[in-house]
Amino acid sequence: MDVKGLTRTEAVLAALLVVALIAAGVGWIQTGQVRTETMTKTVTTTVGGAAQTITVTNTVTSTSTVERIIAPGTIKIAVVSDIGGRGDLSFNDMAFKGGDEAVRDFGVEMVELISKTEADYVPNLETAARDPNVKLIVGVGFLLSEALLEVAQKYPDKNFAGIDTFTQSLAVGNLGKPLPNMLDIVYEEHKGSAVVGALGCLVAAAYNEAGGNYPYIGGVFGIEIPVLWKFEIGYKWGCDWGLKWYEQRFGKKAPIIGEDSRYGSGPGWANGLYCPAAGECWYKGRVLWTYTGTFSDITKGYAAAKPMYEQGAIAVYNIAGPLGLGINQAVQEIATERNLANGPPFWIGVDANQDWINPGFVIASMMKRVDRGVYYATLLTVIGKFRDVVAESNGVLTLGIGTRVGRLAMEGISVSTLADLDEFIQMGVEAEKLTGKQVLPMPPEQIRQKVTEMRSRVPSWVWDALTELESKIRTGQVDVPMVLTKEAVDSWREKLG
Amino acid sequence: MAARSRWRIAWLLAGAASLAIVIYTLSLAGMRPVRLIETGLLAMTPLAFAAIGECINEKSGQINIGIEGIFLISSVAGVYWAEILDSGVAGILVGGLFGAGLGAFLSILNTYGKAEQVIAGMALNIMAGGLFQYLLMAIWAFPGIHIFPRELVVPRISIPIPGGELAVSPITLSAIAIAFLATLLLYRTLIGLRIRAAGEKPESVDVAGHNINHVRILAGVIAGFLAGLGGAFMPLGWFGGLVKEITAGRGFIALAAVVFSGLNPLTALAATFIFGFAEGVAFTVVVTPGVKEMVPFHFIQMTPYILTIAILAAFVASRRFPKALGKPYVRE
Amino acid sequence: MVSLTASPSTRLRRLLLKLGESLLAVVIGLIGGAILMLLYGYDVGVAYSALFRGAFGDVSGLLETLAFATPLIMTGLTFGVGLRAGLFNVGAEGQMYLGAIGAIMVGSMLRMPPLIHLVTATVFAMFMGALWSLPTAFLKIYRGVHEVVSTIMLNWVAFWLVTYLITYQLADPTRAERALPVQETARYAVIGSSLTMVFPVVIALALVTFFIIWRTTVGYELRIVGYNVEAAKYTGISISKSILTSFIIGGLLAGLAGASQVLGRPPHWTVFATMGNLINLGFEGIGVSLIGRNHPIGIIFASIFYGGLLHGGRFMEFEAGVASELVRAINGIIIIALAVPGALQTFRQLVRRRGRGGEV
Repeated sequence: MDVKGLTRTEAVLAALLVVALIAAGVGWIQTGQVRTETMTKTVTTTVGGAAQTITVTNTVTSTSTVERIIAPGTIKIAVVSDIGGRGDLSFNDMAFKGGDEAVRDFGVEMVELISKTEADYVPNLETAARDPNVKLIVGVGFLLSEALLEVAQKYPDKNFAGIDTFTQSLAVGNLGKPLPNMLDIVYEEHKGSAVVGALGCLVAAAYNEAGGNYPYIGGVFGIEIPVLWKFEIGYKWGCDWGLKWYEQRFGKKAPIIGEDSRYGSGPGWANGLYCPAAGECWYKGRVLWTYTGTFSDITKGYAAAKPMYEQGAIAVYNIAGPLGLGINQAVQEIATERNLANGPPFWIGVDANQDWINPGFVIASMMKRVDRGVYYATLLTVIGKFRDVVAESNGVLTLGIGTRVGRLAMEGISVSTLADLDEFIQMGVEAEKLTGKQVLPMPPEQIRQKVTEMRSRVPSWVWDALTELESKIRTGQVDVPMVLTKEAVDSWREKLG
Repeated sequence: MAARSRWRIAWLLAGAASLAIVIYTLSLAGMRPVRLIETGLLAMTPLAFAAIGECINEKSGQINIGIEGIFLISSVAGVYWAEILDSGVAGILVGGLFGAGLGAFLSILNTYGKAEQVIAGMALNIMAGGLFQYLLMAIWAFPGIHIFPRELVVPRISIPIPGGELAVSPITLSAIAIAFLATLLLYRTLIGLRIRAAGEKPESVDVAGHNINHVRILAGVIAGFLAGLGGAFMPLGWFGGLVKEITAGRGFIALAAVVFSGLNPLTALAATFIFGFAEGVAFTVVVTPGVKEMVPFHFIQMTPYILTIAILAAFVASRRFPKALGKPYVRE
Repeated sequence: MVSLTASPSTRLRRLLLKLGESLLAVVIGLIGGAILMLLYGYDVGVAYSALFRGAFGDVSGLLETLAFATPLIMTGLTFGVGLRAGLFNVGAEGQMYLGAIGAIMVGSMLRMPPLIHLVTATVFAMFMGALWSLPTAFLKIYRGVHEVVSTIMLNWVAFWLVTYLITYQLADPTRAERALPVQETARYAVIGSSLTMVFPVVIALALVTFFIIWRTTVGYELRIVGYNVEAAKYTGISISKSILTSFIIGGLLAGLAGASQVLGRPPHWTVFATMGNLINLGFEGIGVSLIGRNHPIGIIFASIFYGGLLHGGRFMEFEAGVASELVRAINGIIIIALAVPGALQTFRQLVRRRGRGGEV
């Protein structure tokens, strides 16, 4: 080995290698010290009582450090998103909102991990589970079901919750019994969709009474997965319920949307209704709908919604997360063209309260309170009831309209109200403070005023109908079909179009 | 020359005819032709900017695979500055400046650094992909998406055409104008002559006493500026928001258009319209019940790439490109 | 000038030099990342220490890092072997997609006894990858089409083709968002965390590639072609044959990269319609190959390094709140630094004061 033969450059490069290795080693130790400092800070803020968010620190490798920072009552929760990730202004963002509320109310800390690819699910869940202070790990989105099964089995002393997941049914299939530390939180989206479906068709009826020409409502869906069938059939069923309610209340068919023969003719059709069996008639074909095959490509939301509005849909329901922005763009184009300050046309928000995104043009939102799911799971963890609830419920918590756990009402589905609006405007205001950038489309006061104005233009009997539907669902007087299989969805599409 | 331009006219006529047939068929299937053309023009705009720029860049003997990366970075920069300057058009221009900066950076690597251009471009794509999401989080504290006030979106103007009105962005019109300007620049000016010579016969430029590296950097800056305009156009002239999938491979479609066109800005413009139109058709097909079951949109999305490969396979590739493409100039 | 055979001392010197260059690029990349973090007020120390301890600090982190490194070794070699033959084969991405879909075709659709199923699925996946590299090779050989252009186009054709196949032909009937998972008989055994037995297979293939390129006539000819086409012509080496060989080897390896994500990675054992668990692995291979100096052994270590960044990024996000995508930006900076021989030369000249220049 002729080391002397090295030129000066090479010697320097070799020396650099050695120096870098040493530096790396030193950096290792030093950063450890930095870490301890941060921990002290954290304790101070906790003592001070300020609800500081998240820059904490602690490690997986050295347990000794960890014991030092456990202040009494310090619990961390971790929220792991699927690849849809944050920024959908609906599903995922709602989960983080729930975490924020838990931070505020229970003094826990929240850490978030955003998955970039499907390969990230297991490592992300594990990273969270290995942190000794993390007591609850929430996986957001059904895509995490398999990963939750794997990690929940591996860390039996941690609590796991999944939003929209079916981990327990996988567990029953694979292990023969549900896991004691895993809670699937599922929602009755079909019920909420039925309410907004009724709203859409009744609003069309109301505007048609005043001389409008709105023969349809519309729905833009994401990827065709079973969860979305619940939305789709619920929505169509709701429209039908609304039009039947109108018939009963006013003793006549709703103008245009209820009577025109454009929706179909031939065997089984009578008076603009489709009657597959005697005594069973449906308002078929009132809903224009399409699956775009994506939860991310906004352009497809626009392309899907635009022709619906052109065919006379008064409102389009967004069941594809961020694609709502594409729908909004289509609405905005029409509004600019015709110089409108208010809808129609409208769109209908989903998951979160999206009424603020374009005030005056979002008639309402079907709120799926993913935030409540995260909040309840944290609550149950904090009060030590998590595993009891898992045992009682076989690990599946259903949140919907009129659902309860024991004596505690735990609801998770509702149609947006003005009160919710304030809550979401407040979120926007806080985000603006945090980033110093504009988040809301206009000042809060103006949003509130425009939404109130829009709602007051809709006749009060429409809102009465919704209240009636909601209370009938709550008491079980009406039963919204919950569709989970291909056969069921096909048979409902046969009836409702 | 005359024979070649006759061929070119024949090709364009054939293209226009097949486009007309496609539009007619689609209108039979219930899609509105005006809407398809509008979408096609929107989708064309970023592609056209980038492709025209890249034609100039490749004429000068450089190749930039990193258009996708320039798109991503300039879209963030454009929105950031549009918010500060409170103007969408200003934002698009700033996006162009950022693109010009990146173009200059790549060209300096290519010339003085003698970099492997393909690798540098790829690296820019990889870096921008990460940087885009990092910046979204770092600037707006919100991952994956950013929505800005809709007043910032450059409004479209209506142009009456037979059978209705066409809503077109003024930015699209400027892209079309730039295609003509680029042709003038390349074939009617001294700078254009030097740029072309830098790609074909770098020695001649050197002998004439001009710095070959400066010529190429100039071409790179122009190309980067145009690509930057295209990148910032996507949020500020089209989508009304920034999302992580905003470019969706459009940088590579632009590259395909460049290869397709044989480095002629006007042909590149035509190619980007066809590709943009295909994209518009794909969006529309995927959401039109009855049609989407018959024609999977995936195959429409493939057309730009397949057409490009077909063109390359049909013509001898070496004739269509400058001799010194992709090679740093070393004086002998 | 560098020659194909050299004495031990010059070899050592060259090795050190290359190592130094890679290291310098990595340092530049990490400094670039640090600057980006400082610009937005993140704590660089916490972030990097979390990243490296998370990735290499304990056994399960290390296993996860190796799992992330597995496909990169293969796609890195695809690019590396191409470069040895003087080709910019940036088509690993598309070839990998085809490999993954090939693995699903055999793994999910056919029924076979355990070990045979696994081997068939793997081999078919590699075959599909190689198949997708053939058009590029033929376009290059017969039409003179530059491989960069044709591979980029074919990558996108592959993307849409595979998305189509997943959505319409191979979809899981109960889970429309993904393809049918492969059967138990076609899965590699799990070693720990997300690492499976596909890792040793990948390492073995990397070593086989090493052997082919450096110890066989075919490999020797391939390197001559890459080193100097004119010289190869005079010595009567068939250039076309070498080009074809390098594309086929690259395709086979990229196909295995795709298969490794399907047959060798729990818990999904399938591909999603978004292709989220495949996207970018091919492009990231380019960086890995450059850091590993286009040498199989170097690529293995570079993959482990970059796999560590990919896995460690989540700890950075968890502990310092830095978006983990930053690691991709760091990777981009490293590649740019390595793409510029001039920059390192300048560095050397600064050290040497009197530059001799001209070599590398």
